[in-house]
Amino acid sequence: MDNDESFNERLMSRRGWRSEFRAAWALSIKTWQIELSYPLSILWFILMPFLWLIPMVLAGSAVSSGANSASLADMTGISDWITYVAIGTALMGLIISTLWGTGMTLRREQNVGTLETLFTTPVGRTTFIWGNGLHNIQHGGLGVILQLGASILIFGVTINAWGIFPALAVVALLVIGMQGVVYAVASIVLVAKQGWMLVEFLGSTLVLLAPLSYPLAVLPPLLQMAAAGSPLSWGADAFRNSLVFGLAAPGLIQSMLMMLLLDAVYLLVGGIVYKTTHRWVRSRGALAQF
Amino acid sequence: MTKSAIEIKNLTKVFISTRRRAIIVPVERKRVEALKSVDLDIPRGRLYGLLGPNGAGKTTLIKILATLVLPTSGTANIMGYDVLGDSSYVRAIIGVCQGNERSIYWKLSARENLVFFGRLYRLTQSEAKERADELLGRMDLLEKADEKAENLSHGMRMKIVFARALIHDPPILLLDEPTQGLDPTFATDLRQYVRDKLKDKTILLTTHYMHEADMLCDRIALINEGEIKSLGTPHELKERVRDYDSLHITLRGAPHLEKIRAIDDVLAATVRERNGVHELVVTAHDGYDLTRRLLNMLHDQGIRVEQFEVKEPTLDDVFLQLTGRRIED
Amino acid sequence: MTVVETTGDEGDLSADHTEFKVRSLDWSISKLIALKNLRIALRYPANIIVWGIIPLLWIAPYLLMMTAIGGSAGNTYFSEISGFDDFIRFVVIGWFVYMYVDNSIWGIGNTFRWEQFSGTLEPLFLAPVPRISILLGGAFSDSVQTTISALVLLAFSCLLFGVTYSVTMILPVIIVLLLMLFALFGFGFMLAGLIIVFKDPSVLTELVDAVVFTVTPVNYPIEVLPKYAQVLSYLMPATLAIGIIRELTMTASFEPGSYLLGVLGLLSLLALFWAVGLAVFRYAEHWTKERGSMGGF
Repeated sequence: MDNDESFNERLMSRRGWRSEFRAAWALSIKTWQIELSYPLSILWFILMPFLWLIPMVLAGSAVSSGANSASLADMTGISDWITYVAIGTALMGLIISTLWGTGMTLRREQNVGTLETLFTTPVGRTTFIWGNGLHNIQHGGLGVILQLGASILIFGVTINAWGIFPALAVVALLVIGMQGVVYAVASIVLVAKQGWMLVEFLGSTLVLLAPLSYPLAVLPPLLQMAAAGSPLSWGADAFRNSLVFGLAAPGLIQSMLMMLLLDAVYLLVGGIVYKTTHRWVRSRGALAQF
Repeated sequence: MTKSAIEIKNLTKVFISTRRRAIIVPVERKRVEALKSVDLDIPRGRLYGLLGPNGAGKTTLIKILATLVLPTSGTANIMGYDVLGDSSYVRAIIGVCQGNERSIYWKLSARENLVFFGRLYRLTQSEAKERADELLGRMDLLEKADEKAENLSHGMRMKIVFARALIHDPPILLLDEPTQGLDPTFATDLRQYVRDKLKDKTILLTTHYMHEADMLCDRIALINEGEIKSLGTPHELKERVRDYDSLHITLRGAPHLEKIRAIDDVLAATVRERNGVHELVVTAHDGYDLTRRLLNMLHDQGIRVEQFEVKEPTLDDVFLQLTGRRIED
Repeated sequence: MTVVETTGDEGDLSADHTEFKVRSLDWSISKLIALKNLRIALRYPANIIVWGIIPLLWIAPYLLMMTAIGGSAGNTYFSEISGFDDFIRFVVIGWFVYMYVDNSIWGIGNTFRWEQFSGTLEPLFLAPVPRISILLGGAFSDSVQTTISALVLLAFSCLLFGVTYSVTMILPVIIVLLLMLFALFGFGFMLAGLIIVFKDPSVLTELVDAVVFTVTPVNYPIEVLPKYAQVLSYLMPATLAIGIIRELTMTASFEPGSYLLGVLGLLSLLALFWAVGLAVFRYAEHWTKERGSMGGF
């Protein structure tokens, strides 16, 4: 570092996906450091997955006298409704963490005044989004493990160990597709003062259209058709079927192919929306405003 | 490679703000020209100042150079890189310090902040740590390196903000009101640091403190309502009003400004009220000749003169003569 | 500055000062704050309506799941344990009432946080008015907005799910709702106190919301909760209120004895929540002032 000029030039020469990944990793670690500096966050992190599952289990037990549901078995081939709901809710935790996490992080950077500073660094504009995504996957992923582990111990949920690998592949495809939605969420947060309403609407609609705690068969036909256009709908069934039936999960390949196709569309559309929005915000000079 | 470090040509920025009802329905559109055809060339290794009152367009110019705001028209290059087309290259060679202690993470320590930003500028973990410690040492902050920023004083946080701008050792520094709101001792330290330790950098500094611009800048651009009114060394700028006298008069009661401006020989006149005391500043070719007439007029208006001084011209007088406004307005 | 200019009026000034009294609760300030908030809210009328529609997306997953699990036999089992014959009607009215609980947590508890975001917290804190009055003012305006949102939710739910309720007992329903609302104000004060101490409102608020939602019989009858959770549930004014309102609107029957008992219960909870809420808030205010971290968050 003796030669100042050459130090900056050396940094300039470090480009490409590896340097972007390093920046994304730094973003992810920084968010962990900040989250963990609030003691309540740790408690929330541990309790959160259960606090979503428990009301679901309670609501289910109000209409079913035992652990098995004949009606659910008819529609899905899975009779153990607690297993069905527990796996779906665990995945929902991951999705909500991915969707809200990025929006929340950008919003927090805006609120505390660091967003402009971040945008003066040479990190790629989209890296901020998937860098935060990286954190949310770690965060949400740990939540899934925690919730499924506890569901096995407390509610007697059973999981087919052979299904873990295909389930991970499904999650990977799902996370990629969700990045497209995350770009859209980030755009909303950058632009709209009252954007939370739209984010809430978007998130809740995606969750409603996905077979997380109920099969799509109970939805009205119009909504069933709309559900086919969401990677989350395909991903939720594929993830659950993998963990319940293992490698013999029905429709696994078809679901993964559909997810690949939808991922491409979502990423493309989300990416374009984000880039356009970011440009618009810069032309308005409104990055620091909220 | 180009000779100038920063080249700004014909840069214009227009903001259009729309007031809406119920989020959607537009009610009123307002057009504000924040920069009007600005031209500025800054050679390498020079420290240029942008001096002007609040709302003059200083921050907009800095934000365009920092790639945070898009210009409406015109071009700006930094070390030959276009702020529009090569924005990521531009960001890699500039260090931006906005005089805002909120631009670091208060929940992270001084060292964690610097290492994090270092990583974003592509330093490896070990380089970032080494560089962070080096800068913390230079800023006398090594003892507080592991303390969360929220537990540090305002001055210390500003030191971290300043160190963050230097983490990747950029050849170009954009300093936007870096000493605003700082206590005088620390502001002096910071100015000393900029003058002595950052000699090899090209710096664009915005400020509305005249003495700061006078002390630090090789050349100063006086900016008002989005236009650069004059550019020169502090000495050159003051030479332009060398032939003028600046009369500073403290009054009890508000003078009739239009009548004063109507007096022959008066070039500019402003008045500012503080705690019931009015400070009148009048620029004229021959202050001594004007004095009698002016004092008579004030007497006729029933205004008591508390203090009277004929001063050497300052940058504020230059600004006043050029724009009819004072910098600290 | 003004002191110098108004030296001749010193008598008036000191008279003003002697008339200024420190109050622990100033209702006129609460009214002022409430009107200010409502004026701002009316600038965005779409929000109030949309916040009535979005909860439909939260209710639907519960109803769909209960339909999938229960099937045709679902209502039979449900009526065995709850005493009501239709779980959709049961759930919708539960959510209607829960909107107020949600408001006490997200609205009242976070009043100061929102003021801080809009940059108006400092001027509010500098004004010589009791902070609890500011909170109460916020609570009033939030409650008006919640009432509109909750009615929108109820209307849309009736349309979408085809459920109906009896309106013959509207007066007793309003009395119960008002009592619950005032009791929840106390709960909101308590949360506002916790938030200025813990400073991370999103996590704390989420946590409290999740626990309260779980123990409140919104989607299920209280009987499905474990015994200890039922005790906790009965400490929430919403549990009593939801129970009474379900009886009144779903069965259209009015039993004066049990109604009065419920009202007495709500009154006791109101007194308890206000006492605890005010104490917690005052203590929190003192705690943060002592440490100089009031504006920090």
